[in-house]
Amino acid sequence: MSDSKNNRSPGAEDLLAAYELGLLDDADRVRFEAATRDDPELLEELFDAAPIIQALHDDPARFAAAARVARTELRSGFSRRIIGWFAALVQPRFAVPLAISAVALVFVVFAPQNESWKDLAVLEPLAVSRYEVRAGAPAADEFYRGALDAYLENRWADAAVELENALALAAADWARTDQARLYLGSSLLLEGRIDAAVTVFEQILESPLVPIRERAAWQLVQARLVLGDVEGARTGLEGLQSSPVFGEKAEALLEALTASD
Amino acid sequence: MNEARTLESLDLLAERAIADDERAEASLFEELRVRFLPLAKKRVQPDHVEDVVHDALGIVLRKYRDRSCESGILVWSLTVLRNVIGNHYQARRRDQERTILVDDWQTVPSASLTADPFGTIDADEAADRLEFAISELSLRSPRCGTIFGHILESMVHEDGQREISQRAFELVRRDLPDLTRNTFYVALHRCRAQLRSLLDRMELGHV
Repeated sequence: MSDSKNNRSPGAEDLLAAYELGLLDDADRVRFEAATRDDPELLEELFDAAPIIQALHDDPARFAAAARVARTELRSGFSRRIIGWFAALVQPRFAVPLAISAVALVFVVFAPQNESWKDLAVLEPLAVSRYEVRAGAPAADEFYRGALDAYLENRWADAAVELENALALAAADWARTDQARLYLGSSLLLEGRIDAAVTVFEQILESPLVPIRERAAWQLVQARLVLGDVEGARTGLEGLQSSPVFGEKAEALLEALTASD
Repeated sequence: MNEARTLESLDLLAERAIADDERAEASLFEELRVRFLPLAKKRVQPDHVEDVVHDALGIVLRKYRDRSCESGILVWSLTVLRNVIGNHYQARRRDQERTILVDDWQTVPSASLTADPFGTIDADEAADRLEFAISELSLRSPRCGTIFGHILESMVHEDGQREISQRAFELVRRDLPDLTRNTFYVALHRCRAQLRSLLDRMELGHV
């Protein structure tokens, strides 16, 4: 791409996101605002997204942490590690099948015994960011904040206790119930209380928030592997195959399970 | 129509208005009014449009000097208009529920009772969804995660739009050196579209 093409002034509609986030200089801001008088669709888009943009401006630290943690998670992720070994050597379109084949080969060669299913389990902490609580917030939020602080410091038992307190004190319509359960299940899993973790994760499978539900399903698979419940783990993985986030990981782990049968 | 347009941004007009420039304030509210009108016309019955716009401008007038948020005046004003329209929907819904006989429920057009979709979820839940959407977007598109992440970090650490913009662009260029200022805006716009799509699909339970 030539420099002249790169430097060509973008159309007013392309400035929408930069305008919303306050990144434009005065000239571009005037140009964009003029367009919102002439272009009803542009104005509609700005109107529709206004609460989202307002939320980003109100608490950028929270959303910055979400992006940062996700990128860290991506870098340390399971499938990323497998694919990463091969990515440098082969074209990307071959990386996934090769990674899957490699995992399968490892398990054919080393044929794990049933009691070693837990070696397949990916026991990693969830992405988490600190939770700020305003003065006078309900006790459930205070416990939730303390729990996430403990979780960030790998104090799983403390995190579990604080989360149990938060859930016990939470109002019926507390917005963070499912998140608290997710972190509670993960804390229990990482602490080694696997049966308790399974019970908590199973509760979250009813959550209306799909990202939480999928994370819980993935964690539940790991818990079942640790317990040696291979069929339960397989069922969970099959349910995750269509997930854009966990699909690849689920495929790789399913292949590994199949290869070791 | 064009001749009445200002050559200043609305934020500069707001700054001058806050400094007691009455002409700037009049221009600012005229600029807001011409944008509020078509939005309200699409959403409320014709005989209520002027009232809704008037109410929204009244709230903006009362609050714009004291607002502490960092978003631009137009984005903030549009959230005020959204809330006023949402309240209008709710008031109409209550009125209808009071006046409609039970036997007539089936004949009421559902659209006339539909609340503002964003008003049906509370702010906490909306923020939670946004947090997850940013997280998911960063996993699915590391480029978008990098762009949003650096902009948001800059919003945390810098005061003033110019400083935020400068820092964000420098950080993004460090990770994505192929971007010019203009292609950065275009890339950001595409990432925004992906984020919106993700939020829409989350709302429908497809993510």
